[in-house]
Amino acid sequence: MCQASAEGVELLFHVNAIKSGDWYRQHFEATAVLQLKSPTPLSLTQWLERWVTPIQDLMVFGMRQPSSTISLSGIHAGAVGPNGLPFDVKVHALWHPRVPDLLWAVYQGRAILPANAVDDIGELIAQWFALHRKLGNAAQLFFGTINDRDLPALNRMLNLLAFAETYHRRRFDEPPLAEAEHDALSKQMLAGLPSQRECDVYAGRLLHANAQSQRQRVRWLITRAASADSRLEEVKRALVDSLTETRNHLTHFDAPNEWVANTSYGYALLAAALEFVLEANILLDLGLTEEQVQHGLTQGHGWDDPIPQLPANGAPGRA
Amino acid sequence: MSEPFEEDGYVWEPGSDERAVAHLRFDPDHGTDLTLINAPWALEVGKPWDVLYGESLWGQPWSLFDVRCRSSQRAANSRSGCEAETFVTGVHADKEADIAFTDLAFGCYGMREWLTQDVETAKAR
Repeated sequence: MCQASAEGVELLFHVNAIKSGDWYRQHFEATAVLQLKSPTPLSLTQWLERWVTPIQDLMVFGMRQPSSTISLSGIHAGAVGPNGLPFDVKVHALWHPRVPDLLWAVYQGRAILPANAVDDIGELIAQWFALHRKLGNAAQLFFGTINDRDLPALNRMLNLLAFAETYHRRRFDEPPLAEAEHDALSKQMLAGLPSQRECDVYAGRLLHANAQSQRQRVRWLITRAASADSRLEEVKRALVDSLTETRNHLTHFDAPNEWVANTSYGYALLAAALEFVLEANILLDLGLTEEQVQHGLTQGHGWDDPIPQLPANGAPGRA
Repeated sequence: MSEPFEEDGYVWEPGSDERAVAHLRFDPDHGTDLTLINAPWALEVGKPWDVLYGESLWGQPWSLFDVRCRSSQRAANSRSGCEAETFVTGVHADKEADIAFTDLAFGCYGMREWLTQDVETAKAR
């Protein structure tokens, strides 16, 4: 049993062990349920969006396997049955994604953040909710992507790259110029244009000019992740160039060069490597030490470590 | 664990007295199917409802959200087949946002393994 609280809501994780059998065999089975208690009633929508989804995302992230709702029930204030007791309210739906009940062995060698990887589960849960709230809607972009094993490799890579950009922007943004300086210079540049026609073309572009490039953001995230896994320092240039050049080729139709991946294997390996980098960053965000992060990544990628597969002088899997 | 189940009862449109005999089937892999017998208000194929109310034979309230009539058979006894996106037992509510809890129980795939993963064994491997 694990107990935690976040934003005034109490969380209690239960594991229920069931033992059955006869003279010749014994069967053990365990189920897990999370009970949440809020000081004030929350609507079903609020429960789903603010509590159920982040917890499910924690399972997806920590176990590196898809997750989906199995059961959801509560006690509705004021709903009373014929015997005078409140009805247990149960919600039945086609929960997405559809996830089969995976065998125990499937989880082995993939968990980067199981519950007992940290000493204080309460602190981990509090940090997780704080991070999830900071990510806002972008959380869905990341956790929805890693929760969908059927997503084509190319879409997976582009989704993760888009998330990496917004994650860096939300958490570690460092615009090159101060906002006031940028505003003043933008006005000055627009004032120098001959007519409104040119202003319409440049105003929108200038609005976003004072921002780090995607290349800079990805490089920053890899450098941070390398504090937990030094191998990333060696593949940093190749990974940054392959990701940004491939993305630019796909979205802007830039001419392909040796850094542009063009096979499913290449896209899949770039997606896996970027996911590895994002995992390291998120583990660091949760307050884990560099040693704990390294241990989690080693344990969770025992069988699918993408880093040794990355070539140093070009995009992976070029045909 | 959410298991498939079937229930008999009655279903009606909120604010109406025209209750129809209903058979409800829920399967976590296929969703909620509702069969209505002699429901003149549910004969038009494709007709949507934001919500329908219902009650099991033993008095348990049902709320079915985002319902659509999928098939309709007109004879001496008409029969309509409907699908619902979300099926809530235990309460009548006009929309999902009206259902409020202070206590919630939730289970998802991976939670059991997350709670019981043996780090030391994995380390040793």
